[in-house]
Amino acid sequence: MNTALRLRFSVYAQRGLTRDLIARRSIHSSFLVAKDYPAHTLLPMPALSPTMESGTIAEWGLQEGDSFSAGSVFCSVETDKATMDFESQDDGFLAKILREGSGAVDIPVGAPIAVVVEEEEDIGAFSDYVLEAEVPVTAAPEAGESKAPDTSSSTPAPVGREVSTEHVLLPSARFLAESKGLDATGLPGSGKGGRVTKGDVLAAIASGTFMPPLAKESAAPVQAASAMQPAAATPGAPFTDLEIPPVDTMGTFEDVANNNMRKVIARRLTESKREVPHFYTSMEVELDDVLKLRKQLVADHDVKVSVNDVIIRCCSLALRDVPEVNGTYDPKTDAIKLQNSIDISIAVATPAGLITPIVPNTDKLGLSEITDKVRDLAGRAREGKLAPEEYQGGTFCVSNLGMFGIDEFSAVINPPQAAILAVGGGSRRVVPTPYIDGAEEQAKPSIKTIMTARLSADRRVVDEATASLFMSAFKHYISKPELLLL
Amino acid sequence: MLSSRFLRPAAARVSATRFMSSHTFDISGCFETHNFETAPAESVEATKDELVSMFELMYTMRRMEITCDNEYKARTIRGFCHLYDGQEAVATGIENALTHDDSWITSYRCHCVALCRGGSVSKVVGELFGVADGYSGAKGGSMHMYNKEHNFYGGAGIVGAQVPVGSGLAFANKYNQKPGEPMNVAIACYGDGAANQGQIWEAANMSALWKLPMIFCIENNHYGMGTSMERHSSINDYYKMGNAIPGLRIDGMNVLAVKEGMRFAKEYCGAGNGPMYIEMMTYRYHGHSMSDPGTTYRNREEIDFTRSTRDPLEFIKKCLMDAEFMTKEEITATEKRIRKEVQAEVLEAKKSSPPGLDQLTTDIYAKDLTPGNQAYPDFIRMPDFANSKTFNN
Repeated sequence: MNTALRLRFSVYAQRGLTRDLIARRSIHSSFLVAKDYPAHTLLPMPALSPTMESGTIAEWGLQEGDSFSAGSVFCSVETDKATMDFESQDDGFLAKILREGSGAVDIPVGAPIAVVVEEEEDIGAFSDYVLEAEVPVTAAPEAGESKAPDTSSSTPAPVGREVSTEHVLLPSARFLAESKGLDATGLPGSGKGGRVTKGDVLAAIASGTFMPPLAKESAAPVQAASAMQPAAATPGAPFTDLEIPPVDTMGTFEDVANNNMRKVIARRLTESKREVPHFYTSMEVELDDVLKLRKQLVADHDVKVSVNDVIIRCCSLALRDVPEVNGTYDPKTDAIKLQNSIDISIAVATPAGLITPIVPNTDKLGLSEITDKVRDLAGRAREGKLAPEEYQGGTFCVSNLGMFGIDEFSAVINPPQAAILAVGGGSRRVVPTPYIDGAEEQAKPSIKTIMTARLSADRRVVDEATASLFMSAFKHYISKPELLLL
Repeated sequence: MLSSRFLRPAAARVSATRFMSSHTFDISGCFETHNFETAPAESVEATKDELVSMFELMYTMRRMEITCDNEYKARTIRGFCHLYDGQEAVATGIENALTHDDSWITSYRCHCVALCRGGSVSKVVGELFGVADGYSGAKGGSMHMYNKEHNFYGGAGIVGAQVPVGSGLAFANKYNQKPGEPMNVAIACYGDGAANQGQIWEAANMSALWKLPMIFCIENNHYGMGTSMERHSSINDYYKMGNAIPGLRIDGMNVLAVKEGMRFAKEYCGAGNGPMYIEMMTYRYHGHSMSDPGTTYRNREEIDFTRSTRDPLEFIKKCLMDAEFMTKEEITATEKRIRKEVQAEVLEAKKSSPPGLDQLTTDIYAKDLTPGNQAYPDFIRMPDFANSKTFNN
């Protein structure tokens, strides 16, 4: 929430109003006529779903001064579930947009977002309209300049003090006194050398000993050196934030707001990296036979199959052979659940973020069926047209960065899956042939296309031996593609 | 108060119009019949008072439903909320053709029907807010508005369940028929999505066999929740669904056609000819309920097209202006007035308080359980077994 909104709600909280009452104040009825403005209605952020708490205005469909009728779309609102259009039920004119751009993020339900009027001639009156409560609270704290209270304080220092008034307050006592807005330097101190401790200040507050209010220093511009101070607040006001000094950044930067999908990805993968003990096993596999098979399919049978589809099929067969990798760890019961079906998710890079659509029952699909399914899912993923059940779930994931030129990489496991296979691109390398003892002529080294596959596995579900078994099964299938027939 | 206007039955209104101006409107092409030798009239005469009252009722319904939408989005109303805007002509036409002695039962989309039958905007919206002055005393909510005095048997939440009950009401009307007078009819309104419910076929069969004065009224708004009628029903001519039972299809956006069609139906059924199927071709602008945006299964263009070409309010405004009963300025002034009235009633409803705790235990049992004084016949086993007649016998 931005500062203005936080202040507004703190104002309301002080008045003891609940959120419900704020909504019930008929913000949308035309009975709230502010002085000097013609009859108008404040359009509140609607609750577009029963669980919606706040929404972000993705885009305004109208501009100030536009007319609208029943059925026209004011704006599209991004909620926790989906992006929905906010339609008008009535006719009218949009006089002023109150929230747009960066101010339109995470607006709570019920907060006014625009001003609408019924008569066209009233539009002009709202050109400078500012929502009343958004005017910043004028009791904004001034930055305190120095640690010490001013020496021109009229209270005489008590007898027996060995330190100057500047240093008489121990840090915790000073903090406490300043947060209450009081000057505690006049108190008799029980600390060393007559210093005032926190206990003294607490006792003074409890017993009602008079402490003069903390004098505000004249507002000299804050210097970076002395600026890390608790700001002097008006007496009785709650403690306010630290004044962060303006920092001279080198160069400019741009804030890129995350859309919902990226936020969800960020949250889930952080959780994965933090909660799941990852370990990695790599294997290099030879792709030559697969590439030969591909060429044959295209040339003889006009069937286009990509290396990724073969990898997916190999993974599904390897999962069939090593079903321990096709599981989930349930932290609540500390148990490993082995899934019955093999559903492989494929990582697809879309403009909005990385999404992993699922190929269900992968082991039961043939190579061309996998190709078609992957092509369909990837296409629809890029357009954002996937149904939730098509990307939620899955028992294993395959991520292929070969087309981007990556040799090898390690992927993050998508919870609640147990493993993810990260596959690089094939590179042509010189491979030595085995040394044959006693042969007249050793065979020449050959050039093969080698690809590195790295499995990131959840150590709670899969141990190193099982992962190795899986990788050798995978290598087994991919080096000899004729085994894919089985 | 807006409610008093609608208590006077249509018949009384017509007889007072001898000295008022009236205009003939052409409604040919609004009807299709099935198994009928006769048909409703091709033109209808309407007086200024009738048209103005219909317009005001429909506009009140529209404003009330829009207000419900706004209040729901402001979270002052929660739970289920099924809105009727776009279909106002159906309720208004039926209300003007039938009397308050005819029984009316409808589905959960019942706010506007409740408004017609003994309701006011503050009572209906108050029911949604949950105040003690609400239509059902805040015990029913959006879907369960009920008013026995005006023969309105609710608001029903279960899809299609109101239709067999409606047949029962028709049976009661036939049973209570006064000799020499036509029977009061019973009308059950349900949607195209409900039309294939098995219980409706059963009710239709019994109504036909016993020749009950029952009107099966299908409000065809083309979508059963989110499924279009081509995809949820293999028969799309709902007025022919009665097979041997005669049917009538009416353009449900034309309030005069609805009124004339319903008058025809009341005459037919009240004379003891048996039940009748009526299909009202209508449209709803909102989604199925407030949880449904209404745009995932249909285009916005379709909704805008219907709003601009077939809107029932625009139609009746056009009728008023063509007959020169009201000028454009008068219409706008009426609209403004009704808006203010609706707003005032909603504010009044908002100020009311929820029912007290003493209401928690009322409306559960019959009021008086003394044997012999009971509202129910003696053979009904009362909830308190000790007070049942059979036990005391």
